[in-house]
Amino acid sequence: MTDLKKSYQIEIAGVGGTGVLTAAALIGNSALIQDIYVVQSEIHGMAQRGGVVNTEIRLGPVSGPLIPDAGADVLLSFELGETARAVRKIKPKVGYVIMNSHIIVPPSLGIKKGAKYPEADSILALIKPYSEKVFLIDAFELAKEAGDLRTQNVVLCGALFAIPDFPLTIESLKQALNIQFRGKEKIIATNMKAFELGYNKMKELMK
Amino acid sequence: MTKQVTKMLLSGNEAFARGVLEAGVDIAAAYPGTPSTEIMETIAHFGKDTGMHAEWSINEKIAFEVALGASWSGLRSFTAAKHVGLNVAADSFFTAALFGGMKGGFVMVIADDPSFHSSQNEQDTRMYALAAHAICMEPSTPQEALDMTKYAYEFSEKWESMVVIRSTTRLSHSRGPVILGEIPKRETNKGEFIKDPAKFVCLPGNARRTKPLLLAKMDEIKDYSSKSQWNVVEKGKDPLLVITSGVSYLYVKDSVQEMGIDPTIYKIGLSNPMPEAKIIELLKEHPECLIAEEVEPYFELKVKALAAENGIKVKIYGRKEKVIPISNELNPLILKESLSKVMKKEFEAVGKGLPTQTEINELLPNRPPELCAGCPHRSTFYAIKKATRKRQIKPIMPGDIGCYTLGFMAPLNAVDTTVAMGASIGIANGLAHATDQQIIPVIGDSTFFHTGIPALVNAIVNKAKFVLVVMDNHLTAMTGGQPTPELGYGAFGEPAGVVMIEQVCKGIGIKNLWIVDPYDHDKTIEVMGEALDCNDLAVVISRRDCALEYSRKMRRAKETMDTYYTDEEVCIGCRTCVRDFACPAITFDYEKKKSHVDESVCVGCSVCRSICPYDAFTKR
Repeated sequence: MTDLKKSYQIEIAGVGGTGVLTAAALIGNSALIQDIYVVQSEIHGMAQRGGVVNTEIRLGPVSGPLIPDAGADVLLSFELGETARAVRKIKPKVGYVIMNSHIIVPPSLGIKKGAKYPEADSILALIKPYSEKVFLIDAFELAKEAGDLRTQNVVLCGALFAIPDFPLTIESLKQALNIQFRGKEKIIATNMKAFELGYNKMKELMK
Repeated sequence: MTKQVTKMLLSGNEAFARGVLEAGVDIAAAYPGTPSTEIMETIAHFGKDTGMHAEWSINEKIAFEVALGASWSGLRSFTAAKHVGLNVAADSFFTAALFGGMKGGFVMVIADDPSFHSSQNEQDTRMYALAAHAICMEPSTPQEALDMTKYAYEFSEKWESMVVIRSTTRLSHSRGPVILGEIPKRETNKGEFIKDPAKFVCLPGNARRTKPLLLAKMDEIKDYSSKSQWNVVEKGKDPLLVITSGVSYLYVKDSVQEMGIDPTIYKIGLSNPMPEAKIIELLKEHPECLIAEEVEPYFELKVKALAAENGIKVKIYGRKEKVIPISNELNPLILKESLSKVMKKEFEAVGKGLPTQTEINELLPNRPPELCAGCPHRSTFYAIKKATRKRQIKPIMPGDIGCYTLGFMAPLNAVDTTVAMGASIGIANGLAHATDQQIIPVIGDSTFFHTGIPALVNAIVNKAKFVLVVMDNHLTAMTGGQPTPELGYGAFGEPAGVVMIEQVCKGIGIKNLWIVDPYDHDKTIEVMGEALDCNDLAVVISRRDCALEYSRKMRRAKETMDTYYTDEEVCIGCRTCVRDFACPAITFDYEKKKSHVDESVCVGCSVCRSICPYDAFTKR
């Protein structure tokens, strides 16, 4: 048993269709491969139609599937604004915030004349008081570079695995990718590339 | 889920399914409903080659009865539903609980939805079990979901009673490591129904004779409950006793660990009949007791009654004391606060001085769930709007349960009532007699079959006039795409019988019937107009594949979809498309004053062409 002495908790925030559940499965299976106890929660159903989708992953000595407010070691966010909506989950000061700089405009915004998506700076102004470790990553561009826009989630997973003292290994993530996309070599290769791009970007940002 | 793998990360629902398969269940039947759907999906996926029968039934009552018939024939049977699905099955449920006679184990998983994540109410299945005198169990983790399901089959057969397993969203949709057992090989899946009218015919005489037997049986199980392996005392050093179950138990554990306190925890897994003797014993040993449970004060009422009846001096904290919130699901933070109150410890709210959730939500745009790009429902709603506006009619539109409930959202604002599955047509019957207003109920294909048909028959018999629109997207879409009777395939993907909505309508005597393609926007408006003008009971079937399913199919076939783009020369920036139609693929660029189509989202439905007053959308 290689279980953790202290819990490690990851909150994933996103929007339906951004691959939140797939990312959670990859991280969860990586933990399972390392024999680290893992529980995670997800909400399906109505929310998937363009709504907010959050997933919580808890590793080590924990019981329930929910991360309490101020309990997350990492907030991994797949959409700029949604980072702010979930930021209360982060451990104040010490928690890492890894966020996609890409935005997804909700269509309902178009109904009201002149309604605009808020400026990135005003969103960041709400996030920064919570954490000193905020990292913005343009996962859209990196996923494009990897060859598939749908790999933005895996780009951000790459950044997650670059955090110092992150308890899961790249080796187990690779295995998890192989389980997730069993037999689909091309998809695995694209995702691996996306993962590496995210990983390297995060290393670079932390320098 | 192959044999050589022993440990997997499973959701609660997948673990229930695995338990069903490991118990060698012969017949499983369900109707989809969040958060229970994946149980049957997983059974169908992995049970395909076992020789079992699995089906998506037309509604929860039928699914329940399929399982009951199987159990009475000596086969192990299973059904699953969301909490409100049990309402549909309740008629049979109560009587089946009374008569028992389950020769083959009969287990049902009912998934409650505290906090209304995907539901119209928050009802507590334990209250049903209590009212019906049915055995009820509550697992906490995916591993327990599997283990308890297997155990429940033995328990059901031992007592010849059905077992209700109560899940909640946070168990059904949370994942944890699960150690798997073996799926048994089976020889045959045929049982035999042995006639025994006194047992299976619920005439008053038989029922009268059976009731005392049921009550005596439940008393016996109650005594057993205090010794059950599922009702566990975790002895602590603090004077506080915490009685809890399900995921609430996990939140208690998390909070206790974080706060460094050590109360005695009584985790109840077999919750009806309640382990009364053990509860009395524990209450006598503890001066204070906190009850942590979700939805109704099911334990709380009984525990308080037991303390009073037995003259035990113990302070009991629950909802009445406002220590546990009266509505919505619990979470570790709530439990920490509750435990702090009871133990008179300082509770420091987190996030002091940081931007509040309210401040954050004020800045961010709302993200309500929305009809997808190219969703045929949007086009149908829009056509109804146009046809009624042209006639200066302000129709009342009773809605139903499915994706199209989202027609409620702006800018469509096209759903005036939603109550329960099938209720659109039922309420339309009432409105038609109560008012002179134009009534246009809308219902989906799966919901039409589920409970819509009797209400339509009622309209013919009792002469209610309205225009029913069946939004037929060839799928039970909201729950992830289960087959409907029109599709001709079953739970395993095997060939199945076919029933078409128009056959039903014609068969019951609907004279005014149209079938229209909502992507043919002008035609749909025309047909809606004709239906409104006929001033009689009419049915319009608006038929087009679910857009999500369509894009899935295209992707699988490696075919590219048509897409549309804005011809910026033609677009005058009137905003009709974003303001009135609101397809998620279309946004508005305020700098250019032109609309813009996100072609990665567009499925090429072409309806934007019909709704644009200037014909600015062009095929790529």
